[in-house]
Amino acid sequence: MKQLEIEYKNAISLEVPDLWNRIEAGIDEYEATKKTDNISYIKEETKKEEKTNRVNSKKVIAYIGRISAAAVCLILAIGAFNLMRGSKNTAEMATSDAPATADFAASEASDEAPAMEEYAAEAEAEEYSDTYEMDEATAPSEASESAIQNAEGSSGKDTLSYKNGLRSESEELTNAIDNQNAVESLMSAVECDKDQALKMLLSLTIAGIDEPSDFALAAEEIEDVDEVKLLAGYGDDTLRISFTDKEAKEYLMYLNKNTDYTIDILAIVRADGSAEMIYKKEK
Amino acid sequence: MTEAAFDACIQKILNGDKSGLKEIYDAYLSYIYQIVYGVVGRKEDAEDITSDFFIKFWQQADKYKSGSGHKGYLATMARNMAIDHLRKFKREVLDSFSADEEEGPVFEPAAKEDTENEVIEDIGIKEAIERLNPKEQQIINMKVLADMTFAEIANELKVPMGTVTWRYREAIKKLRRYGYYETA
Repeated sequence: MKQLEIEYKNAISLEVPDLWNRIEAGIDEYEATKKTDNISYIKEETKKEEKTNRVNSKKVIAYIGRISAAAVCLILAIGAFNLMRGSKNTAEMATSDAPATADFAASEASDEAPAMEEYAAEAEAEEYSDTYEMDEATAPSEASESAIQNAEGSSGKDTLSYKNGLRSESEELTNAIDNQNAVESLMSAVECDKDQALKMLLSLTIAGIDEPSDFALAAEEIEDVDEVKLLAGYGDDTLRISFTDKEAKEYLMYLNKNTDYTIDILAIVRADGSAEMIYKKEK
Repeated sequence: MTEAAFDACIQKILNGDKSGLKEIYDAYLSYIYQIVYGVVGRKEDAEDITSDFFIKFWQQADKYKSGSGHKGYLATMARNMAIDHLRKFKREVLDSFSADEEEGPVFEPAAKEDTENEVIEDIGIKEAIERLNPKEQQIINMKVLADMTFAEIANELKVPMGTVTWRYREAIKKLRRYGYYETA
């Protein structure tokens, strides 16, 4: 009696061939393929990385280009808008001031000669340059005082102002021209040019915008201010004036003192950039 | 081979040392070949699959978990590879089993009652197995060489387990007549 399982397994074992050489060859082939695959993988990864870098740099350049184009468009649009606004103001001021000047000239013609002489004497009393030349270190109160003096009675070489309305016909013609100059000066003050601002104040004074209003409040509110943006009312229109240095305080004081038109302080940005104050001051 | 010796061989393989695989090959080549042959039933296929088995074992040595019983691990892996091969390339064998089932099981008496225990011829086991029909050969190979259960065989051959057991019994009866008895 023979056991099936044992006999059969033994018989099969006897016919098992030697497969080691095949197996060893297969392992060598596998290892070689593995190395090749690794090298290929590394090469592919390197290529992919290079391609990605190229694409990324292109994207960055395109992005910068788009931003630049947008910025240029914005600048052009703002410039065009400001130009349109400026020309509109100039035209409106010229038309609105013409009848007033004529009426004023007619009434002035009936004034007495002694009044004119008195005015001339006062005008000679002070030099024009002493009135508006401001030192940078001048305190706000001193600046406002000099502005008040300027408004109350000062004479320049080419312009004259007089708050009591004692003006000659030739002076009124000069004022009409200076109203336009005031607008232009206000516009140029956007660049925070102190000289231009002073000219602007003088022009405002000449134009009769000379009533002080809420000076103390404005002076307190803008302590330690890095930037002041305000809207100075002028006629029916407004002009935006931006000051970016600490002298903005001084300029604002002048404006507050010398105009009875609407002044809106749009934003006061403090040194840390966190605080913002907005208030409106109307006539 | 002990578990410790097998683990040492695995470590060698992981270090790229072929001697580790060679030791396993020497110890288990016959065992693996029997299992594979038991499933596929053809010498050429069994050789190919056995070679592939050792190459695959080299590639996946890191997946072996120490202490899980290496002999069972090898047997399962070899059986699965052989079954995969059978499913891919031996579809016709499976189809033949399915065709039988469509027609209903065929009961072929192995021998008459009075002669089934009688040894009629003294032949070698290989020759005796070859005298069985192909379906019986496959079931005997799977059961005896590959150590598969009847349920596993039925599942792989897509036939009812009753048919598998009946064919196995018939094959055993025939082999008994050549002097080969099932181990108790």
